[in-house]
Amino acid sequence: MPTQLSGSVGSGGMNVRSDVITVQTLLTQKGQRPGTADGICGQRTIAAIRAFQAGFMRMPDGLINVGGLTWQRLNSGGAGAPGAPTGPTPPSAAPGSPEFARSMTTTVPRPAPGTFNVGLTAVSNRWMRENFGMPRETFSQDCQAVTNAVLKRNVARESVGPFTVEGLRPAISSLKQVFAEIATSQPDLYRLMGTAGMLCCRYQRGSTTAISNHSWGTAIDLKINGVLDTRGDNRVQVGLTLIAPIFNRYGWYWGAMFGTEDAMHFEASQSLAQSFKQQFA
Amino acid sequence: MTPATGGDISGRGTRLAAAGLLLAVQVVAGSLASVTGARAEDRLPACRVVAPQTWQGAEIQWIGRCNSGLAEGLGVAIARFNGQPQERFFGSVAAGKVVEGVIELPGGYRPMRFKGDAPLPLDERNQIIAVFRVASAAAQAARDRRRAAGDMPAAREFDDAAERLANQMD
Repeated sequence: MPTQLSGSVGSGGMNVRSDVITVQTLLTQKGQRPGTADGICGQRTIAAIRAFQAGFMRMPDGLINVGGLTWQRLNSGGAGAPGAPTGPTPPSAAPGSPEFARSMTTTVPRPAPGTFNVGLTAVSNRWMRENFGMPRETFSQDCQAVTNAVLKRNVARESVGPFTVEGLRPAISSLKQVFAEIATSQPDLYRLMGTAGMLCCRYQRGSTTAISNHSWGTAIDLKINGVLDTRGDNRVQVGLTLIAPIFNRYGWYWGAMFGTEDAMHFEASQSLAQSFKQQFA
Repeated sequence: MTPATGGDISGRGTRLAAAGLLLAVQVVAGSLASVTGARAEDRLPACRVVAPQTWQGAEIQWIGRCNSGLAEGLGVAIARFNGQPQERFFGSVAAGKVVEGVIELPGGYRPMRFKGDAPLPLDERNQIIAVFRVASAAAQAARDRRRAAGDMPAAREFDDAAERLANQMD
């Protein structure tokens, strides 16, 4: 493996093919996902560079300069993210430090289609209504309680580890498993996790027919260090990219891949929601 | 208010950070880019807004009403740091003190609500939805001020900000 680049690689770089292959190979070794090492510096490679930089730069620029900081980090020994091959490299800032917290809320471009939620199908309003019924008869723009008797019987308020939520009991049980794994694999990030709520029966904004997927208690919004990822800007917090693979493994669909990016949002996929129904009291 | 250094205003980590960290910062004259929506007539030297400690040393501007030398009502506070990305607070202020709103950070939004100088927990979804509504209304108030002043680019930017804030909790 060459130890020097002949030119810059990444966004706005010279992108000499052999250099790009070197960078792609090293990014993969560091736990990033630049795609096949084909020597073409496309969006996926640039996104992987940004994700890698997010571990030590406040403002990742997607560019690797010859001999620059990113190159030095990339070319240093040791594989990054041991045990977490599906997410970006954890940042190098000291755990618990303000720098670490900031690095977790640094944003990177949202992942390319097909990189998350593989094999999962998002639920629709109609699908939820057909499978779970309406959670209540009337809605407004504010959260209201579930009145559907079956659903109500299965609503609980419990801790999932870093915080307490109100939601459908089987969904909470699943979240406990998710956060137990996060506590093991990303303990410092785990301590920064919070929520902006789970169960909330209400209309989607501006609608008098479509209701929020939070209305059934099978969706949750997360915050990292008290900060909510900005919806719809096509960028996602680094911390969310680290935990999304875990959510996916347990059948939770990540909202970063919605038509309108909503990276703070995770919801039970169709298959997971079906399994909840079988656990109803 | 601790927007940048790790205090979670709405959660457990924040409470230790918040109460003692408020700092009154005088609104100063400056030259923010027009994208912030700030103009000279907003930079009243006698108007004060209570700012987060993490904004200490920043150039802070209040776009909103001023009553007896203190920021009042819905508006936007803008902080600019030397060479650092700016942060903005959208929300309501009473007698110069933050009541509730949202700080816009490079990494997203931090919703917050205060009672006196003490931050209140913000874990309930309805509360967070309500705070984002206030923040959106504050952005609209700033938009209206800029529009009235004939600064249409800034008005449009605040209009976009109001829409983003309104859609955040959908």
